[in-house]
Amino acid sequence: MPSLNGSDKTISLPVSQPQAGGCGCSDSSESKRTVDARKGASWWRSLGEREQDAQAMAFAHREFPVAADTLDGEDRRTFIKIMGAGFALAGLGLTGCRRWPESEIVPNASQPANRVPGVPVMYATATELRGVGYGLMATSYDGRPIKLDGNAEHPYWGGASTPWMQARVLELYDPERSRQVFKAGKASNIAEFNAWLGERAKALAAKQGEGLAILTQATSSPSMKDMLARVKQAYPKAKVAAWEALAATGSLDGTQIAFGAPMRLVPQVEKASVIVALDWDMLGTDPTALRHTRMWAEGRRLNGADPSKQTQNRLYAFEPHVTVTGMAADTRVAVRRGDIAVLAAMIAQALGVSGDASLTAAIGRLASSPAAKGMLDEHSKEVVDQLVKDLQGAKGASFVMCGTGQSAEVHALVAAINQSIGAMGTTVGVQAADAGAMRLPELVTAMNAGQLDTLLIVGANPCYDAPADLAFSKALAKVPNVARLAYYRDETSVDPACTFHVPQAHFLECWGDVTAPDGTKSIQQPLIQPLIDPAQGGVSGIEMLAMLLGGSEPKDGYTIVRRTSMASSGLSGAAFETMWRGCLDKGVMSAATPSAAPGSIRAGDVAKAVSALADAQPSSRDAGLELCFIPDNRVLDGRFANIGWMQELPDPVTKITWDNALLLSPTTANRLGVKQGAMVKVTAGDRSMQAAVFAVPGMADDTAAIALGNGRKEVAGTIATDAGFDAYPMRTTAAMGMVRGASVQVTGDTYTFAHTQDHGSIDAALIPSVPHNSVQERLPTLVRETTLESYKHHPDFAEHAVHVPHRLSLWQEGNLDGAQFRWAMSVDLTTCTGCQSCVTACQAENNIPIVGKDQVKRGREMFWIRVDRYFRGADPAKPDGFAVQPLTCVQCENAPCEQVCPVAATVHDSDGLNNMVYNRCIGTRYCSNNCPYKVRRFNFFDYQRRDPIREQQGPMQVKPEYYVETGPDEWLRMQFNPEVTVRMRGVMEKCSFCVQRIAQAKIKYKNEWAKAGGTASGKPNYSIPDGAVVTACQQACPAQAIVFGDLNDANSKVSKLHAARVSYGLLEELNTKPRLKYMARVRNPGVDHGAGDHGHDHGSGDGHGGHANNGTQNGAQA
Amino acid sequence: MSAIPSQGNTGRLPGFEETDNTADVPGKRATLVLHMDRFNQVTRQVCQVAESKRPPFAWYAAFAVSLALVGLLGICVNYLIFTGVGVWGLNNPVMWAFDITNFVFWVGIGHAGTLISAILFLFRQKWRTGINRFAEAMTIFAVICAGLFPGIHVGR
Repeated sequence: MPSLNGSDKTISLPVSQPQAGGCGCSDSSESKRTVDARKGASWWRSLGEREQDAQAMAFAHREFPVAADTLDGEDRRTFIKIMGAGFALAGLGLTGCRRWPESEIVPNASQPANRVPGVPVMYATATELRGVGYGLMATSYDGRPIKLDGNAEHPYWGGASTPWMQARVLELYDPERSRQVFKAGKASNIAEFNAWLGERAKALAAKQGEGLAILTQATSSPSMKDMLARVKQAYPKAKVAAWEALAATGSLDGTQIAFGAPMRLVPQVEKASVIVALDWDMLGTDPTALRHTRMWAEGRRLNGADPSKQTQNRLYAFEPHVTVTGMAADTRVAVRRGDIAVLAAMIAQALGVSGDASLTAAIGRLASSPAAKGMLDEHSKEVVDQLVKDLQGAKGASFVMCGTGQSAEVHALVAAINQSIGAMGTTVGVQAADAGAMRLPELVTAMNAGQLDTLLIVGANPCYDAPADLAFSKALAKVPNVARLAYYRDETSVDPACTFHVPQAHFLECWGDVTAPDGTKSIQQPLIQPLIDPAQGGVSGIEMLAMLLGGSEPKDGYTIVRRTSMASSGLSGAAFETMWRGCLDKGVMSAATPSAAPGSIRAGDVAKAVSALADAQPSSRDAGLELCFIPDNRVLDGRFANIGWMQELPDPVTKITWDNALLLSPTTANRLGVKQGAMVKVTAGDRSMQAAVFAVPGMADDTAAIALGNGRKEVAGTIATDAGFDAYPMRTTAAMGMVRGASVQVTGDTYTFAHTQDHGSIDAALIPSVPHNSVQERLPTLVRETTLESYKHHPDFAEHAVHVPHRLSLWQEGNLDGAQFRWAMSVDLTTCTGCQSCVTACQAENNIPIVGKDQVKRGREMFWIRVDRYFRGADPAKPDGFAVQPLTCVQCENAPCEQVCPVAATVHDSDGLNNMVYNRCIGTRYCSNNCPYKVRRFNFFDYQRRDPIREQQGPMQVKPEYYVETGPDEWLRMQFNPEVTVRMRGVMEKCSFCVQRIAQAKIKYKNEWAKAGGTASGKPNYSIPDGAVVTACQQACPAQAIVFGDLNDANSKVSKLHAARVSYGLLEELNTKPRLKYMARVRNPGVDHGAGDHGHDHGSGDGHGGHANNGTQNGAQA
Repeated sequence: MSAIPSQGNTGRLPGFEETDNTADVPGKRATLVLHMDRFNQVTRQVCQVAESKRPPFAWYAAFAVSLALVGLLGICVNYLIFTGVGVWGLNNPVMWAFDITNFVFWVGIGHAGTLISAILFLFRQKWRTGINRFAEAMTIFAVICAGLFPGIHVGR
């Protein structure tokens, strides 16, 4: 059996060792030398004397007659010896220079039941975002929720999570979350608010609720709906409105047109082999992206059984800007947002969508509208033809969807297309939508008309994110009594018209319930008592409505939620208690609601809508820029703007952190004469804003896109302050998705972005001494991809990408043959979308600090896992494709970092993990210099105790005293995972493969083994079942692209994946023997003129043995 | 000095006026020390620096400047130690910059001293002692300077 270290059959020495030489290690080599000199001094001195004897000494004296007198040899040696020791002591002294903040511990007087200190407890709970309920599993340590993950038992969502789900635990501990009742800008308390509300309620009840309005966010909560219904009952003339900046109203209105009733469409990606996304970010910012990603990945994962029988779904994406969906799509075409309607008409025409003559005519008119000329180039036309063929060939197994940026008319047309290809009710599930609350424009009209006396705002922040033409703030001034319940005292709460601001309880602090898109209900179970003083509120939305109702209504959320559940389940007494207990345990209350029948299409109404679209098309293509408003991949609509994790998370496409930007295609930017980072004034109609330009390859030309939710001011919190540019002032009710005819003027100022797209470049792109073509040579070996067609014939394509020379090391390699476990990871590039859930999950699990914009600019971000994003193709303006590659520490078996660490702070354990010993690390940074993957992260400052700084402020940017301060607010520290060391300044850190989770599993299974009498054998030979250790990134991955496990277990998932032919290690040619391997990417484009065979073509000339994988893989299988 | 034979008490070295000390004729060595009649003159000249009551004013001025620079170093090093090596503007992947540059600079200076000393030794120059003394001193102080950087470059 060949041993793993591969030292047995090798010929040459292909080792490229660092050239850094002895500079940085000199402190260590100096001290080592000193130690040697001191420890071995007697030895060697006496040996030398014995060997050289008196004759040698005399010879020396003869040789240096004069100098021997002037500079005594012994003295010089002693001097250097003492100097070296001094250096070593200086180093040691500095490392020990630390003062610990004092704190007290208070033990429990009596131990609470069922609580084992230090053992995490998991609770099922749920949350709601944009009216969509998600099932969650919260990890709680000693009463502190520290991490949120998807509830694996949730039938709709599964166990994965989005970055936003992960980030909400930090929202709980945000020290700037409101915790004070304000009355007209002055501090107040909840009793005062209650009295005020009681007074209002009495006055309103007399008028049957005339003048009362309640403005909520989109909600799926049965209890909230129930409470609103009760309010309606008690105050029949009250108005109930809902506002969501990124609401799916287009879809509801579109189905209203097409089917005569508003419907919620639930695409069933798992049933579709052809998916057409028209400006629909199904894998990114769509509220159900989590589910879509999982199902889309299921439909394309390489099963490895027989490559020639491999099938994959096919995703077409047409979009104005680059989204996660576009990057993952098999075929992507950049189309302006306004042209999507024309494109839909072209598809409808080619598919022969018809209902009546008027519809056919209207579609024809739209498809041939003047603006359509020149819309698609030859390649894109080919794509559309292929797409139509695919849709026709997959009736009932395909669907077309358009996104929230599109108008109701486009949604109606798309609904007609779906109906004609048999998607409605099959691949697109239909859920009846309730008539819905009043919309914001209607409410504002009532406000302006002076019809409102009392307005209760629950959560929504319309002063910030309402369409600009509504002038919500002015309308608010006409309402005499306004109360707002919210997490933050931000724009709407500080509005002078706002009478009361009441702090809202975080969802982890209060009871509630939510509904998933398929109708599955979950209970939102609190994990912690409100951190807010009870005298200062901390009530939930339903509790506030209960306060309004007054009387004998139950006032606490628990009773209200139980009442709703009891009513909906129809159970009572013991049966209900059993059900209730069960759903608290599992987190799921009821099964999904089956899909409704869509009914038949109203062709006449759709025809009218399509005609309206055709009329609205501009007469020519030279109508200036289209300014698109897009949801932010990080802060969404702005609600997560004060969460550091979200601000620092690089945008999946642009890789910008802490900002948004006006995105332009490189061609358009050139045409307009604007450079990257140039400040411009964007004008559309009579509105204008300033923003900085960022060019994104792959954007549609003549399109400017800007993410909403940025550019908030101080009221939103210190993290959110001035992050990016606020695009809401440009958005109007008439143009929620985009504005035509925008223009751009250069102001002359420049703006610096902190983007990470060039950081950690292992392709040497930014090293001037490396010629550019070497990047081109190396890239295909980093991301190896091919098309499905090519894969069927060459399933070995990934093996030939790079020639791996003979594996022989200069060093004695660690021998891991007898290891009990060999932990390894596999990342599937076929299914990875680059959504970055893993990044935030890792940050939450491993106590990774945020560093601030200024530090990101300097390349000091701390993420243990990063997602590299590459463009493919020759034309920088129009890339042929995109590739994303998540990169953690690859845990080399033959780790370059270990060879250079002077203090052995990074060492292998017996399981083959490359561990960091923080106590040993003195911060020479030698390991990072020697890491070919650039995955090591250094604490240049004590980031955990330091406010993230946006801009550098003079030399004293770092407060010297921060080091001994007790840190910022202790709330943030409550999020820390006690299983993971909080790293101090000056130590190196990196991905640990979640070693704390491995240890937990080991303890558990070793205990079980010991209890079962296993210790009798004397050797620890317990086993850990496959899947018992789940890393944080793996747990979060919506595509389930990350697999972790033990290579010693031949049946483990990861063993099989590592043995697959498409599996390759990054930079394997350096003989690092990475434990993280990638599954090469296989795409399924219908039309592909790009270099799909990149990986295969390259390096196929190396027609002899010793290719990648041959050595290790055999070893791994053996 | 011992190479110069004593010429009695004339106070003049023989053939002072006509001596051509640019030539190196074996047997008739050129005079190396001029205008120094006596050993005690030489001794005084040499020892004056070390044994006088107080150093000259120029020394104080130079010392003040040096002390100020060392003080600046102290302030900077303290700032560095209390805030973190990030103040040097290092980043990932350029993990060493200021520190390695300075280390290499001073080590280079140190090498120069050793080189001077070594070359003179290899060529058996008997007059090398004086040069070697300051060349090696330069080396040692340069190495002390260089040694500072590995000491303060560690992150903790």
